[in-house]
Formats: sequence, structure tokens, C-alpha cells
Amino acid sequence: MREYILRQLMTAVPTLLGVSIAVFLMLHLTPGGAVEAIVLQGGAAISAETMAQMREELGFNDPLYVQYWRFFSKAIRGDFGRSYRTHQSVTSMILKALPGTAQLAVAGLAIALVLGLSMGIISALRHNTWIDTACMVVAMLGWSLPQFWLGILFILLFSVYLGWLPITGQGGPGRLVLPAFTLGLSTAGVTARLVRAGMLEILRMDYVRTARAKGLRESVVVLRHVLRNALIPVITVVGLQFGRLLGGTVVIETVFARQGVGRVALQALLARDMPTVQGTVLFLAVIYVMVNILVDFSYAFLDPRIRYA
Amino acid sequence: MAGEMVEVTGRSQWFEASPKSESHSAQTLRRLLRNRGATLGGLFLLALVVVAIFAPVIAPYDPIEIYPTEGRQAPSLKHLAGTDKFGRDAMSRIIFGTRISLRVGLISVAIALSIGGVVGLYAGYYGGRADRLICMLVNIMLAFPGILLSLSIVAVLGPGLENVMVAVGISSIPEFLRVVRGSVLSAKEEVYVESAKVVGCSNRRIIFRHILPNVVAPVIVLSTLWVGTAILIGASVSFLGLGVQPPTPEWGLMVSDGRNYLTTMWWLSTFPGVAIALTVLAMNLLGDGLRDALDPRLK
Repeated sequence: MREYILRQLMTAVPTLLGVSIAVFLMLHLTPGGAVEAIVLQGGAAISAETMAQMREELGFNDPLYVQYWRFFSKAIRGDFGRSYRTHQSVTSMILKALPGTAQLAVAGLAIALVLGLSMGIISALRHNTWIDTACMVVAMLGWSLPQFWLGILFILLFSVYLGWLPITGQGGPGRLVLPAFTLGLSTAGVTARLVRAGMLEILRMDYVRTARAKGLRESVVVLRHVLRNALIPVITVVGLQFGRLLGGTVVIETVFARQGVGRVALQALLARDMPTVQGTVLFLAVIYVMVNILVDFSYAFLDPRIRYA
Repeated sequence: MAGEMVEVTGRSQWFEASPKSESHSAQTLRRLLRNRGATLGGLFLLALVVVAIFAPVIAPYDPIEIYPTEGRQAPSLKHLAGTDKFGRDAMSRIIFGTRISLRVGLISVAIALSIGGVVGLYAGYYGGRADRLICMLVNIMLAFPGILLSLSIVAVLGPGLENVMVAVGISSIPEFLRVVRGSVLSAKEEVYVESAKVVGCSNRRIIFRHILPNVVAPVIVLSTLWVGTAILIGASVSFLGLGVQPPTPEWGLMVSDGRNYLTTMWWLSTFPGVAIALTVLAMNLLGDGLRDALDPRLK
């Protein structure tokens, strides 16, 4: 198991290095360059000589690898520089926005798992009935409907017309319900399909037939023999879908006007505030890679064949 | 002689009647048409293409021109999807928006397929260091969660329709690369490929004659499903303000514009969203149907 963990970590390191290089290059590939992006924030016109002087003072005339090393050595210590727009430390902006995103992502994942597992299990056990069809239709709607539109529809229905839930913003659990449900629904759809397919395959296996022949109750057959094996591929996909959830926070935080890392990233992208874009995108990528490593570890824990592959 | 003629005729009748005499394409089409969801999805997409081509004829009003006296009208017979605050007919804008969404979907997939497909084919067939490097690059691209890669590329290139298509296309490359590479790796292990190598076939002949036919089916399925995904990503990018700019009638942008008027003009966000939802649903139904129809286990 220790060798497996080390192997997974060794794969993650070059991936994260590559992401840091890509994020670093974003600043330099922006039309006009980094200095023009700073000037744009100020709003005033600046002469070419002043721009050249700024480039020299800020180190943008240094070779690219020197600039990258400066960026990397600061990023590794959690220092992403200052926002061109607000002049605050990017790290402090991320840390302030993090709890909102964490709440949303965790709640969204929980809803995705509860809905997805329930629909998938019920669908598999009632295969080829109207219940199976209904669950799969809901699952397909979940991953086909645009999240931003779904969020707006939920606001119209539950907040404007019914008045059951608050519309927007940060606060108690009541303000998390709609955003989390909107975020979790599309992942629930993918999870439901996977659980259903996995369970149908396992329900046909000989050991399940044997378990039934021995006289075990159906609930014991499903919970002890079928579900555990059906869940193994689901864990991998949920890990990959976590990326979709994280990316989805950009949209959901915008629709529901919640403060979070996704919304900070979007505001920075709209304003071409590159240090903030670099910091938020790199931060979210690191979280995503770490979550996938954890998913790989749990996959190896559940299925010992993976460790020795 | 007569007996031989009857036998030949009988055999030819048997060929005509038997499903085994059908070509592979005919069998696939027959299975596809038996799938109600896929048929509905295909018909809807056909209708969408017709609407996109004949938009100037079908749309009752100009999508950009302002009609101040017609502003803020709820859905009615005169304006089926209502009007916005400038008096622009929402249904006409949705109809013209079909052109933009289909362009985003198709061109993004074309970009992803042409780059991802070729690179995936090379990586899967030749393997070695190039394959390892390509896989590492794919992992780096996939490390950007969800829509963030598309947003980052658009942030670099700048907003606009063409840049959205390029951004969505580039961020879709890993999916196509992985599928093509996986199919090539699978096909490479087949005995007939090994035989072709043994008898001295060139790599080019092996790739085009033996490997590519095995790649076509999964690529068709992925391309169909991914057109819907690309439309969704493009609409999301425009919704967030980084994609198509006003006054272009793009569905995601229309949903975003209507967001501030939910209580007074609910129709502004609702109907464009329905258009996106139905289009993506249709592509998913068709893609799923193609996957089932092309699955050899069903033969």
C-alpha cells in the first residue's frame, strides 16, 4: 500500500508543476502583456516610456524561467502576490472566500451522492419497470440541464413564487439549500447511471445467485454483496465529478450571489486581474488533484487488486 | 439445371430475408431507429439545423433591431416568447441563437477531434516517450476543474464567439485524445494487427486499414455527446460574461440578461434556457442511442 501511495504522489507532482507553468504563462500570453493589464486597472493612459519603466521595475524584462522561478518559489509558500484590482493579498482573498466554496462543494457532493445512489439502486432493483425509466429520465435531465438555468428556475419557483427559501447570499443553512441542490443535481445524474450499470452487472454474477439460493434476505444480498462492489467504480467517477463540482461553483456562486473562490476567480477573469486568476485557478487545481489522490487511495483500499497492479 | 437455379434463387431469397445479410451500417441504423429516445433526439436536431439555416425566413422579427413601443411584453400570440426591455422579440433571438449554439458545438468538436484524435492515434500506436509526455500534458489539462480551463483560455484570448469556440475546443481535446488512444491501444493488441505487421504491412496501412475502423464507433458516440457538452460550456461562458457579447443573440447570454428581471419579465431567462436544455437533451439521447446501436455485444 505504501508503494501505491508513493506512486500516486509521484504522478501528482509533475501534474501540479505543469499546472503552475500553465497558470504562470497565462499572464504572459495575455494580449498586451502583464503591464498593460495593470495599467487597465488604473484607468489612466500611460506613456510608452512609463510602461517600459514599469516592465523593468516589476521584473517583466527578466528571462521567462527567472520570472517563473520567482512566481513558483512564492506560490509554494502560499504567496500569489497582490490583486491588481483590490491591492489586497491574493492569498487573503482566497482564504476569506474559501469557507463559502467549501460549504457549497461539500453540500453539493452530499446531495449528489444521496440522490445518485438512491436513484441508481432503485433503478437497478426495479430494472425495466416504469420506476427504472423515471429514475433514468431524472438522471439524464440532471446532467443535460444547464446549471445556471436550473438555479434561476429554482429561484423563480421556490423563492419568488412559493417564498419557501431565501433567494441569494450567504448565511444559514436555508441559503445553502438551493445552491447545493442545483450543484449536486448534475453529478447525481452521472452517479445514478453508474450505480445502476454496476449493480445490474453484479446482480447477474454467480455469487449473488448463490447468496439468494442460500436463502439470504434480498436487503442483505444487495447491501452486503452487491452494493460494495458496485460502488468501487462510482468512487472514481465521484472523484472526477468533484472537478465538475468545483468548476460549477463559479457558476452557482454567480447565480446565487454567494461569495466564494469561484466567484473571486470569475471577477478576476472579467477584470483581467491576473495575479488573482493565477492564485484562484492554481488553488482550485491543487484541491482537485488532492481529492483525486484521496479517491485513488480509497479505491485501492476497497479493491486490493488495484494496489498490486 | 432447374434444381440449381432454384437453389441459387432460394439462397438469394434467404439472403434478402435474413438480417445477417444486412450491411453493418444498415443494422446499426435499424437498431438506432428502434430506440425511441434516439429517434426523437435525431428528429429534434434535424429541426434545429433547419431552423438555423432558415432563421431569416422563420424568425418573425429582426433579432437585434430595437422596437421601443413593444418593450416588456409577456408571451402572447404576437410575441411567442415575449419581448425584452428594448422591445426585441425573444423568439426571434432564440431562433437566430440556434446558429450560434450549433456553430459553437460543431466547431469546438471539430477542433477537439482533429487535434485530440490525431495526437491520440499517434500516442496510442507508437507509445514510448511521446505517449508518456502526451499523457502528462493531458493530466495537466484535466487538472483544471470543470469549466475553469475554458474560462482561463477565453481570459487570455479575449471575449467573443470565435475565441469561445477555440477555448471550448482546446479544453475538449483531452476527452477525444483519451478515447482515441484507448481504442487504438485496444485494437493494437488484436491478432490481425500483429499478423499485418508480420506480413510486412507499413504502419500507415495498418493504421488506416486495421486500427481506424475500430476507432470510428467510439469517436462518433463521443462527438455526438460532446456537441451537447460544448454547447453547454459555451452557453455557460457567455452567461458568465466572458463569451459572446451583446447584442448578439446567444442563448446563455440571453439567460444572463434576463436574470435581473426575474420578478418582472420571467420569460427572458426561461425560454432560452429551454432551448439549451432541449438541445443538450436531444444530443445526449442521440449519443446514447448511437452507443447502444454501435455496441457489438448487441449483435
